[in-house]
Formats: sequence, structure tokens, C-alpha cells
Amino acid sequence: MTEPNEDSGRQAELDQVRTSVRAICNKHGIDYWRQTDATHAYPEAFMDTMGEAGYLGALIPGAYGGTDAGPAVASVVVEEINRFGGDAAVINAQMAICGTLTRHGTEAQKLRWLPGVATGASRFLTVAATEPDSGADMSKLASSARRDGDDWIIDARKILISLAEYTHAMIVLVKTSEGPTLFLLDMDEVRPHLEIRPIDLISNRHTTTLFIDDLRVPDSMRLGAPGAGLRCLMDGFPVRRVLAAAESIGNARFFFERSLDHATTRRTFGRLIGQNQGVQYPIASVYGKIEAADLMRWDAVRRIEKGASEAGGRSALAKILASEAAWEASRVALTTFGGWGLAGEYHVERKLRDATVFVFNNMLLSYVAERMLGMPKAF
Amino acid sequence: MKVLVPLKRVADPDNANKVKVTADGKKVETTGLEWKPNPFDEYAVETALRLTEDGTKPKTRAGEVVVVTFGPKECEITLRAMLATGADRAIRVEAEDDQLDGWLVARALKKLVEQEKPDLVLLGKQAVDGDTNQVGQILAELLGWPMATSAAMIKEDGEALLVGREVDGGVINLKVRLPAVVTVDLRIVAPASVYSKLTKADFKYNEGVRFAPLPAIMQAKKKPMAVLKLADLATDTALRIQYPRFEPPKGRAAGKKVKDVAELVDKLKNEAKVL
Repeated sequence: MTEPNEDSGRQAELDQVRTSVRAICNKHGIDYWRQTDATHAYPEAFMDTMGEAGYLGALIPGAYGGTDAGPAVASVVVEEINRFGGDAAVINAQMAICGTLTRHGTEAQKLRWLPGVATGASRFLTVAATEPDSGADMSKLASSARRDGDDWIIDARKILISLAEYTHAMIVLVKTSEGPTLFLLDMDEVRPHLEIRPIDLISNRHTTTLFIDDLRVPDSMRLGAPGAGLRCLMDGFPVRRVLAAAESIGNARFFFERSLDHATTRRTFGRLIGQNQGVQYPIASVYGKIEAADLMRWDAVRRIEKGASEAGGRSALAKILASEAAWEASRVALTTFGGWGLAGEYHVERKLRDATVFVFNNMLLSYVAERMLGMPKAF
Repeated sequence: MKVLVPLKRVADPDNANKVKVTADGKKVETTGLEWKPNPFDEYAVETALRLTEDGTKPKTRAGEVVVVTFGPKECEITLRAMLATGADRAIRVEAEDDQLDGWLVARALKKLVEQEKPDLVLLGKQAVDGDTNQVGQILAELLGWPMATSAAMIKEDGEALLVGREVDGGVINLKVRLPAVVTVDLRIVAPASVYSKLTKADFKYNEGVRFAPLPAIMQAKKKPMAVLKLADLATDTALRIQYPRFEPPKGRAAGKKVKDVAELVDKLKNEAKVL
């Protein structure tokens, strides 16, 4: 892939990252992902390799053991894993969720966690924000923390929380008298007050419902100012959206490349199936949509790097376009592969389930309508 | 040990159908080609890294690995990739692809070897584009150094190298005194093919060339990259090999299925006329 308008030095660096990540993917093979999916396993061996190769600290500053490689590199990492046929969900979480800590944590909190996150010794995979009654409406939190002397007492119910069973550090969003507030929990310390129930989901996302009951934590576990919780989370959204867009572009390219290969090698009724317009045109059409989404993704990356205010809107558009392109590409793959698209050995059905996780765009569409188009607030 | 690895970029061998000839047949169209390091040269870099380290501590280099290529500025991408996998520094000799042939490159390399004074020059056995298989041999002759070609095994042995060359019917083992020129074959990147003095005999590498970790990719841009002029290394830059005309290979016709041996014999005799 060619990143548009990149200078050749940066292009070379991103190409090397692609080559390096592909080599790591090849080392484990595509059936590794079929296996982790089938057994609902955590991709531990893959994460170990990515840790050894220094990828987990891609967004962590050098002073805390990271490489500070930036969102362009991180986005290429998740794209290549998904494009290979893997699932970048866990590494995406490990690279990006600690961003809130990097930006808003105290020095002690950063030193406690970031060096371990960069090597993989500490897993930082989970933000617990969404709730059973309010869903994604984070201004109506039922979960709470109240002051008790110098400590806080936390009670929380959270749903659709990813990777809580596997993480060592977790950010939890609760309401305090000052407003929404974040706490950074050490799972080993708080486990007796936690109940985690797995939710059986369409793909291997390790999603759970989480209960925190009467948990006493010192004020040193608060992350960011009291009442600033939403802002502390949201200033990381442009990067998270770009990574979601890059994951979707990786998924889309997986479907596209597999479809193109199948269409130009598979013969039925005496001809290549790619000669049939019903197969050929959808492949050509979705190719254009993937490329367009990718242009928006690189536009968003550059705006984030420049600190431009449009980064929020452009990253939202990138995520919307990329997830829609991946969804369409998954349909194209089904058309091209026919019944084999539903068979595990072709990996299309598994990636189709992975890609489906990204199609929920209503909050982002609302953001675009309100912030970019000046329309009335929908949510 | 100081190792000099000359390498060449080639059009992506997995996408050979993208190679086009210009309308006048004078040269190969290079715009739009995806470049890759010549695979055998990548194996030479991997070999150089293995010879300058303890296999259990690949981040610490015992000695120096210098990579060099001849070509335009965009070749620096190939060199940077090698710096990211572990080479210490890079040299680019400014040149256009069609200003070079094996004889000229070998003579320029001789001059560079005299400046750099490596203990070993490691090359791929050949580049997969021109397949001329010349530069290593000519360079050894010009330098008057011992040479071993198509190495599948190298073990450091005091001030010499034990080199295994796979040939028909077995392996020839050579002891090559340093300094020397060695060219490498495919199996040099097998898990037990290369042992430096520091690597223990029971150590096994991963199959193939190593991948660059992210911190090394980030640091590669800070590693030294020198640019030399071709004229500084070779006074006579006239080419000995001229390519008067390029033609793409003719497309191959589809195969035919025969129903029995009699038909096969008939076709071999009367159509293919090979019997």
C-alpha cells in the first residue's frame, strides 16, 4: 500500500513496519487465529512476540519505555494484522488504551504502569465505561464513587466490557459529586470486589459484564481531575477512531485480496468466475471504497499529528467509511466464495464476524452531524 | 569481524508480471515497479548478522556489518530496511540502474573494500533479476582473496571460516582464510547454518531472515548513511555488457491432456518432434 503524499523516509519506515508485522504474522500463521477464535482463547503467544518486537509501546513516550512511534505506525500495525487474517483487537487495546494514562496520569501512575505495558509484562486492555441502562450515554452514569475520608468507595455495573478477564490494569468511569471521574484500577488488588461475567458474542472479543461492589481505593488511583473523566477519555478518541478505521481497512483488504485471488483462479462452467460481471463489478466497486476510506484515514492521521482541530471529525469519517467498506467487502467475499465463504478453512466467515463488530456508527454519525454540519444534537 | 555486504534491489520477484519493457525495447521500465531487496542478498545480511553476534543476544553486535548498494536515492529505502534489521551503517553509491554491470560493480567494490578493509565480503550468490552470478567471483579475483560461492553453511573457525557448499551428490567443505569473499545460497538461513565464535553449537536460529523490531526501525533513520560517487570508486565506467534489446518472454500456451500413452507418444513424435 502507498500512503499518499508521504516523504520517502517516512514511507520507508512504514513499509518496514508492514514487512516486520507481516513476518510476525507469518511466524504464527493464519490458522493460529482460527484456533484462538474456535477456543475463545487470548492470543498470548502472538502478543508475546509483538512485545518482544517492541510494538506494544508504539504510542508510549520513550521516557516510559515506549518507542513513541505515533498513530501512523500504530495504525499500520493493526491494519496489517487484520489484513493477514488475524485479529488486532488485543494489540489495539494494549497500544491505545494507556493513552489516557499517558496524557492525564500522575508521574507515579505512569511509572507504575507504562514501562510494563510497553514490554507486555503488564496488560492494559480495558476501559469500563458503558452501562446497562444508559449504554453509550456516558453522561447518565449509574456507577459511582463517593469520598470516604481520603479514600473513595466505588460501586459500578458495566456491560460490553472487553478483555476484563485478561487485563492487569483497567480504567473505570464513574460518577462523583464533581461529575464523571476516572479511576485506574490494579486488577490484582481489586479482584475480591469484582465480578466478571462473560458475554457470548459474535466474535472472539472477550466481552463481559462487570460488577464492582463496595470497593475502597485510595485517591492515588484516581486518573485525571474529579469531574474531568469524559474529557480525559474523549481527547484520545481521534487516535482510537483512526486505529478502528485502520483495523477495518485491514479487514476490508483481507476480504478484497482473498476475493480477487479467488475470482482470478477459480473456474466454473468453463471460465474464471472473475470473468462474470456479477463477481467482477462488486470487487472493482469495493476496491474504490477501500481506497477512498484509506485516503480519509491518512488525512485523519496527519491532522492528529499536527494537532489540528479537524482531527476529531476526520477521524470519525475515516472510521465510518472504513467500517462500511469492510462490511461491503465481506459481502463481496461471500458472493465470490459462495458456500466456501461460510467454511472455517477459508477464514472468510471468521473475519466476517470480526469485521461486524465495527459497524455501529450512530454515535459517530451524530458527532459528524452536530460538530461538522451544525445540525441539532441527536444524542 | 567486520563484514561488508553489497546488495541490490530487484523488482519484486513475486510480481514478475509487472515488469514491462519500454516501447522501443531499449530498457526495462522501472517506474511503477515494487522494489524488494534481492532475496539472496537479504540472506547475506542475515548471515553477516549471525556471524557478528552471539545467537542468544542478537541486539549486541560483535564487530560491524556495513551494507552497500549502487543506485539512485530511492535505493536508500532498501538500505534503511537492512539498518533496521541490525546492520550498523550503510553506503549508497550514486548510480542509475542502466549505468551498471557486474564488471563495473565488482571493480568499484574492490576500491571500496580497500577503503573499508572488511574481514569478509558477503554477497548473495546472484541477483534474481539479471541472474548473472558474477560480482562475487570477479571481486575475489580482483582482490586476490580466497572465495567460496553458494555457501549453505558457515562456521567461524579461528581466523578462518568453514564453508559448506551444496553440490550434486553432497556437500563440499572448504576452509577459507580471512579476508575472503563468500556468496550465499538459500539454505544459509536455515536454523543451524551459521555459527559465529560466540554462538554455541546447540543454538538454533529461527528459519529465514529476522524481522526488524519496532525500536530498531525507529532507530534506523539515525544510523549513518554515506553517499559516494561512482566515479570516486571506478575511473573507467564504460560497460562491458550491452543489452541491445529487451523482449518480454512469449506467453505460454495452455497444456494439453492426453487420454493414453499412445496419444502421448504420437504427440511427442509428430507435434513436439522430440522423439
